[in-house]
Formats: sequence, structure tokens, C-alpha cells
Amino acid sequence: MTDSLLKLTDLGKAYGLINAAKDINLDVADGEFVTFLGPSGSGKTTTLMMVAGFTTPTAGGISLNGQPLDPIPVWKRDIGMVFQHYALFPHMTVAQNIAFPLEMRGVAKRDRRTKVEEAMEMVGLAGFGQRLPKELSGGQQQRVALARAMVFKPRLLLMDEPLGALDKKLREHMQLEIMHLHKNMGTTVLYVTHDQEEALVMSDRIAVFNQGRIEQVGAPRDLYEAPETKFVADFIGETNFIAGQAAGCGNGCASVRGLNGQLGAPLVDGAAAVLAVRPERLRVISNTTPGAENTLTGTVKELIYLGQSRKAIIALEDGTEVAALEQAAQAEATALAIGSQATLSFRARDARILADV
Amino acid sequence: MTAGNRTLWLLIPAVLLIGVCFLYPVSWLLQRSVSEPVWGLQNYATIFSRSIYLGVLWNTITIAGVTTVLCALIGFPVAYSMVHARPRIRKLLIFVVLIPFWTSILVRSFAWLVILQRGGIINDILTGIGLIAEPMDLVYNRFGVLLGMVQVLLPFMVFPLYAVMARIDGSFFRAATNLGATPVRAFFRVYLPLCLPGLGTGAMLVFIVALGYFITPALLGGRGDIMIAQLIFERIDEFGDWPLASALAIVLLVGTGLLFAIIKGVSKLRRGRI
Ligand SMILES: Nc1ncnc2c1ncn2[C@@H]1O[C@H](COP(=O)(O)OP(=O)(O)OP(=O)(O)O)[C@@H](O)[C@H]1O
Ligand SMILES: [Mg+2]
Repeated sequence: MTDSLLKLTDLGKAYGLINAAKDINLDVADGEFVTFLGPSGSGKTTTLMMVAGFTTPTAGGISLNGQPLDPIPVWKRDIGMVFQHYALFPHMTVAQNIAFPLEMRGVAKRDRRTKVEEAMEMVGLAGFGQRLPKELSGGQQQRVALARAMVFKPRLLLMDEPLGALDKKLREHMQLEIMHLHKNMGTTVLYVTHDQEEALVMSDRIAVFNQGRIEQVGAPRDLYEAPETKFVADFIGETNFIAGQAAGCGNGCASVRGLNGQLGAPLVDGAAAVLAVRPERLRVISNTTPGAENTLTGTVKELIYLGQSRKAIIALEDGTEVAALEQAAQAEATALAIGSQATLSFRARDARILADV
Repeated sequence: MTAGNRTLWLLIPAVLLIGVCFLYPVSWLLQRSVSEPVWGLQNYATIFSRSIYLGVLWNTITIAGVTTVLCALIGFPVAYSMVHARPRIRKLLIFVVLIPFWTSILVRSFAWLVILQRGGIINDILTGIGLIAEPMDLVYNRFGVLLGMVQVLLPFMVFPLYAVMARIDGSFFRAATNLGATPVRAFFRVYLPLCLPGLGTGAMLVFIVALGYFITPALLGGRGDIMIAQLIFERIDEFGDWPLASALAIVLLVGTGLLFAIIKGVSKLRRGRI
């Protein structure tokens, strides 16, 4: 994964005064699986549509294999796409749907047939060729859409919330199938979702979108463990925020209200900041534990039994509520009762100091 | 007793209406057509053997057919614009398409006469600017008939098409181009086939209504453009020839019914695919 296949440079799309996407910079390596993750209206679809060619950028450029894409019309881009509602042609059979891109490329009839068979085999739909799309279940339609988008071996595969219409169980199953296909075929994938779990499971890298911009790009683990902005920390997973002023900013560390953490991004002393720490990084300790760093004390408000773990909601003196998640065995050892006092501790390297916006 | 059976009495008014106003007169016509002057099929034999009658039948079919094709060619872009226009423009377009429905058919046909006749506006303008030396025959011929009929029947094409087009998701066309189809190929391979149900309904409505058209061809057409409805009228009005007129009416009815059945059959065949 060295050479970048797709390059978005300062890409932007404005509708009048609204910036649907702005200053998008992203390099996607050959064979990579990159996910656009973000809340509704954050510009994910807009960016994808600019890559596909359905939307003309108002700023910046896109290049594929080093070639600028802007002058190339949609039908010559050779980019596969799976639409949110599949957009299978209702008047064509499954086989005709999958053969469509081959037909448009002038592939000979016999080659077409074998390639269609292969593609149906690949998505586990062998023998379904003569059915109409409406005679298939949602998951099967999804597979046809996938086969149709991949049968012509596109350089890049785009998927806009392809699993959004499926129920949870089928969605998880299809996630795995798409991952396997991606591995086996080596296709580069741009994937859009607003389901963070889906993004964490499937992606090599995730680009987190917020209000038309990319907040942070990184591997799932990096985004989860080392968010650079409050938005990212909040959007991915559950996080406790403790607000205050940044102090002692320098060599990557800082503190907020005397609690130490890693700097997510450069910050000046005195700036409004939050300390972000994940619930599973908070440990319940007895207040006699010697030498504990970064301690918080408060009153237990709620204890939530989650089977393999237990979540304690603790209100600090200033009213901030924090959640601490402990594995079942650990939770038994630190018996807490609602209304009693509790002390929490965390390691400075598990906490992030981020600008409060 | 199912709910369907218990509500059957709701159909009584409709059944009475059809019985009294349709079935009774039609059976009366049918009876006269085969019983006068003597029992037998002689009236039908006359229709299908005499060249004037065959000519009128042929006229009727071709005029209705060409009207249908023209309505489709003109109506398709109109319906498409209506679907893709902004709401205000769409309302305006719907209004414009509907205007012919709100004006009397007589007024409309006479208006065409005023516009198209040798001393009419169009000929005046064309001769005035010197584009033509002599006024052209724009009316009392096939051209006039088609113009008048297309104008009146266009809404029958536009609205079924509009209803179907409005429900076609834009992602189908986008998917087609994304998969490598040029816009032209995407139109013919994907968009047009998806419009076919609307086009079929519209064509059937236009054709069937056109088959029985009377006033427009009578006013705007020439001797060579007589359609079956005019012929029926003439046989009764001028000759009091009820038996032959009845036979003609039955031919029109059966022909229309047959066409209906054929179209239904074809669309079923298409759905049942190979
Ligand atoms: N054609 C358009 N005209 C005006 N504004 C638009 C248009 N298309 C999108 N927008 C705006 O651009 C912003 C980004 O939209 P986009 O569809 O990219 O969001 P998204 O991240 O895909 O959201 P979702 O998760 O809901 O699909 C939104 O505020 C939207 O209202
Ligand atoms: Mg979207």
C-alpha cells in the first residue's frame, strides 16, 4: 500500500452559501478500504458523488492513478458503485443486470456469460440469473448490486450506505462478505456509513466527516484511542468529557483541572479544553490506594448491569457525570452501591486533552 | 359471506347505468345490424367488401395510429419536463396541457379553422414575409385533422406518462451511466423501458378515443379524411340506413375490444418473460 490510487485535493462543493463539502484532502492507497463516517448531512454522499462524477466539484480536484478525473464523464470513469437502494434495473433479470456493464463495454456475448456466471458465483447467487430483482430478498438484491458493480473489475468501488436497508443480523453477515470480497478481489473501496461499529469493523482507515469537512483520518484503532478533536472522540465510541482550561501544554502533554492527559492537537495554555477518557479506562479504586494519579471522586448515581460488564454512572462534585465500565469479575471486587462515594483513577496516557469547541 | 360479497350492492347504480345506457343500446344495434333488411350478415359483408367502407376503416385506423404516435412523440418530452420542473413551472405546465379539456370541442375546432384557413393568420404571416407565394392548404385535409386531434388528445398521453415517470427513481439512470452507458444508451436501455407502462396506457387511451372521433375530423378534414364515426352519422342522418350504421358501430366496438385484448395479451407475455 504505497502508491496512492485516488487523491482528493482541497475538494469542495458549495450549494449557494452551503458548503456541502469543503477542503477535503485524502489519499487512498491501491487496495485500501476507506470508510466515510459521519452524522447525517456531513457531506459523505456529496464527496462520493463527486468521485463517481454525478456531482461537479466547485473547488479542488480528484485524480485517479495520477490522472485528473474532472474532464472524464461518469460513463468513462470505470468506477463501480453500489447505490443505497441498489438501483437494480427492475425490467431486467439478475443476469441481465450483471451483464449490463459488460454489454456497455462491448464484451462479446460468450465472455459476458462466463463472467456473469463467475460474478454470481462470487456473491453466492449461482442459479438466480433468470429472476427479476423484485423476486429477491433484500440481502440477495444487495449481492446482485455488488456483483454488478464488480463484474467489470473497476479500479475503484464506491458504496453509499449499502447495508442501510437490511436488518441487523443480515447487515453483520454482509459486512463480513464484503470484507472477504474486498480481500479476495483486492479492489479499492470507498465506503459510506453513519454506523460507527460498521466502520470500525470493516475499514483499513476511516475518514470522520463533520459539517462538510474531514475531522480526522486514521485506522480504526487510532481514531478510537487517539482522537484529535472532541467531535471524533464523541462520535466514535463512548467518552467521558471533563471540561476546563488547558494548562502545561508542551511536549505532547497537558492537564485540565489538574488531570493529566495526552494532547490530541496543539493547544495554547488557558484555552478552553476537555479531557476525554473512555469509560473502560476508568478504574474504581478505594480512596486509600496510595499514589494513584488522576483521581476523580463523586457519588454513584446508577449501576447498569450489562452481563459481561457493569457500567457505573458517577456524578462528580461539579455535577459532571462520568461512566466507568468494568468487567464483571472486576466489578464484583469493587462492590459499589448507589448513593455511596466512589473514587476513580486513570492513566495519563489513556486520556486526551482536546480543544473544547 | 365474504366482505366482498356483502358490499356488492354498492355496484347496483353502476350496473344499472351500464345496463341501460350501454348494454341495451348495443344489443339493439347488434340486433338491427343482423336482422335488417333480412336476417344475416349482409351488412357486414357490405362493409368489408365495398372499397368506400374499407377506405373509411383504413382512414380511421391510420388517423388514430398517427395521432397516437404524434401524441407519444410530443407528450414524452412534455411529461418529462413536468416531472423535472420546479413546482411552480410544473403547475403551469399541467395547466397548459389541460386547457384543451376546458374549452368546448366545437370552439377549439373553429379556432383552428380561423388560424389555418387560406385567409388565416398563419398563411397571412407566411405570405406577408414572403416565405411562400401562395397560401398553403393547412386545413380540410389530413394535416388539419391530425393537428386538431393531437391537441385534444395530448393530455391522455401526458398524464399516464407523467404518473409513471414521477415514480422512476433518478438512481436508475445514474446507475446506468455509472456502469458505462452513455446518456443516450442509458435512456434507451433503462429509462424508456421503465416508462413503457405509462406509454402503453397513454397510447391505448389516445388510440381508442381517436378511433371514435367525430367533430374534429368532420370540421378540419376533407372528403378523404372521413372516419368511421362520421360515416355512421352520415348513414343515419342522410339515408336513415340504421342497419348498416349499426353494423359499422358494432365493427368499431369489436375492433376496439380486440385491440384492448391484444395489448393486454402482449403485456402479459412480456411480464411472463422467456
Ligand atoms: N443538491 C443539493 N442542493 C443543496 N444542498 C444540498 C444538495 N445536496 C446536498 N446538500 C446539502 O449538503 C449537505 C451534505 O449532504 P450529504 O448528502 O453529502 O450528506 P451525508 O453525509 O451523505 O448525509 P446522510 O448520512 O444523511 O446521507 C447537507 O447539508 C445537504 O442538505
Ligand atoms: Mg448520504
